[in-house]
Amino acid sequence: MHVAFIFSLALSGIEYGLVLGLMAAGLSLIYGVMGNVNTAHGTFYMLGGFLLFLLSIAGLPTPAAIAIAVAASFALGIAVIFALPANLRIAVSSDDANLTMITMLMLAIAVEYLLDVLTGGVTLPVPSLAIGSFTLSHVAFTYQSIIAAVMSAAVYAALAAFLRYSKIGKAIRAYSQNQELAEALGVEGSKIVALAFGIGVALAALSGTLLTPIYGVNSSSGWDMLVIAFIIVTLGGLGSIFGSLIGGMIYGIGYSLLSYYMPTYTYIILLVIIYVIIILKPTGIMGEIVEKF
Amino acid sequence: MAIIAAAAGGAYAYYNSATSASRAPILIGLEAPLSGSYAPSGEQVLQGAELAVAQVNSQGGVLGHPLKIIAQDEGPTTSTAIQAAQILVEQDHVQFLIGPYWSGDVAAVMPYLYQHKVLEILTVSAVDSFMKPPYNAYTFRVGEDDHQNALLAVAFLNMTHARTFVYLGEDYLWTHEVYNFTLQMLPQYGVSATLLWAAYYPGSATDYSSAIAKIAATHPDAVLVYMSGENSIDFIKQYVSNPTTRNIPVLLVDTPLILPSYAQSVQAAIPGGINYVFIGAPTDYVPGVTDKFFALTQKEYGYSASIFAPDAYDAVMILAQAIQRAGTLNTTAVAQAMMVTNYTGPGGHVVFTPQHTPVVGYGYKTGTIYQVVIQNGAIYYERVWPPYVANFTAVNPATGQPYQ
Repeated sequence: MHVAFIFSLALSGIEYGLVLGLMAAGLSLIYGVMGNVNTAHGTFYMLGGFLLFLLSIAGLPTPAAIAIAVAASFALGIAVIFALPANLRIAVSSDDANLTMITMLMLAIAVEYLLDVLTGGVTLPVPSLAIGSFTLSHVAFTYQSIIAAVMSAAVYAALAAFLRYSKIGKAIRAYSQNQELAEALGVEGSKIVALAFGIGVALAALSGTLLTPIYGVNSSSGWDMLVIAFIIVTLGGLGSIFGSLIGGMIYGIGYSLLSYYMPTYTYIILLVIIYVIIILKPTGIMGEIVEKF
Repeated sequence: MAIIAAAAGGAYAYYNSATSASRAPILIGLEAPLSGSYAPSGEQVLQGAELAVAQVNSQGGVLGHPLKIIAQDEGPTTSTAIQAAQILVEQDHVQFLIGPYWSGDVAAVMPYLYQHKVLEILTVSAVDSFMKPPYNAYTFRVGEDDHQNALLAVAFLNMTHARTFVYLGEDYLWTHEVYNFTLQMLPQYGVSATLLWAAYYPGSATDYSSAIAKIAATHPDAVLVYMSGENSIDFIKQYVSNPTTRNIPVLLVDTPLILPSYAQSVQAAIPGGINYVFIGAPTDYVPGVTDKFFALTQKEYGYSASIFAPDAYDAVMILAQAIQRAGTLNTTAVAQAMMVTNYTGPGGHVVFTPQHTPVVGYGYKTGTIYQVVIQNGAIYYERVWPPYVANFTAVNPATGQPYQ
């Protein structure tokens, strides 16, 4: 029974990790193209849940509300990028890159305070796609979490196919590997950056719509998720979408098992393990095994 | 004529200055989280205090002076809490302070307030280990107390006839303290429940599926959960999603689930899920008094349940009475006057121990246990303990029948 129980815990961790990894994949995509970490990534996770709440109280069915929330986040991401000065959109120097990170961080804080004012800081009721659960060796699997995991896996596959086979996907990959050469071949840097950013934050928003029915959403929901996304991206390999998938599952399994055996030290042990992995393989698990994306 | 006019003008100016000086407000600082995810709780502290100030001022103030609250946001870190205290003391010159909210901030700020002889009243932080000389010389606690939190656990285990239980808490000092007090108090109250296991979770945790799976696997008769804020909401959503654990009676202490907005968010996510969940509120229910207070909060602020507003109200009232008794604003004298407090307000009956904490037990501060009951989609908070204020017989979630 104990083996079955551990297996169920690990399965629960994979389920959790798949959705987190999706958010991390978005972060990785943005990093790969912009060469910069999106410090407002958690905000888009939170916005996904918040928009889902708003659309649900407007009377939209949950699946439609999710689609609109994700599409709106995509559009918002593009708008944010085009609102940045050109030197911050495509950072040439490390100073520009740092300034971009700071600017996005300020944006994230401003959005949090705005939502505090609008919502009073309370947790908002976000509707689930499905209600109900079953248990496997005492571990509960809600239908919402299963749908979230399946959708995440499907979106991963779609993203991988998009990047590998579509013209725009190839342009994104080319730009991420060599900006100057890609631009010389006719790839428009600004548009690619905006598109990649839009896709990246849309993935964060999708994660938000899938997880906030389980964990709730309020104005500060994005910060913890941002840190987890950073961890997964670092573990999986910066710029590697597949790495984010692997990193997410490792994180999810590790979290699930450690919080069963040693809940007080879960984060400490998890971070030490990840630190050791980074020491042994600084580029992350998938950092050099496959080309970017 | 000119001389008369000048004399009249001078007399009028003198009259104005004299009455202005006698109406100079007594400043009461207040530190609470007024931004971020704990802002709703912090604002309730402020609102409770302001209601008391309005009440006192409507009756002529204290020693001829009106009271005035000056609030500062405690912020998300200890350094912002210290900064807030410094602003209140050094810029606003307050001699009395309500708060801070968080225990870590209380520990950081206490030495500073002691040095400046600022009389501090805690309404949320419940850690007993801080209430020791010399720093507790000017510090009093009227609200939540960890002995009281432990008493809620003992009462719950007794009420549910639990023979075994598990204890889960956020990994903060107060939950460890409550755990120790609970184990000490069980034999004192003749309750023979056995602890199966205890675990503490990081404050930033959101996923409790492993913990809940362990509860389902070990199947205790009752579960004690000491988590505040969003953590308790995350926990209970996952707890009631597990078909096994939702039938095991669970007591949530210090949870915002007592607020209808949070309960509705959980109800929306899992309809009927929180039916028969127990809530331990650190404030007492005093018939006639608490109802009247919550009628006022409903009218002024739109809510009729709170674990923060009553104690903040009581803090101001107790302080006002102590200043009146002392006849001075000298904080040493007021602190001495505080020691003879015998006050009953919406948060309960307050008498101070030598450690400046509220006496805990029947007839004094006990806290209140509620059971959430959902009928036709509407959420009700039924009082099930203490027996002398209960209006409902607690229901076993596994059977749907009252406990005998």
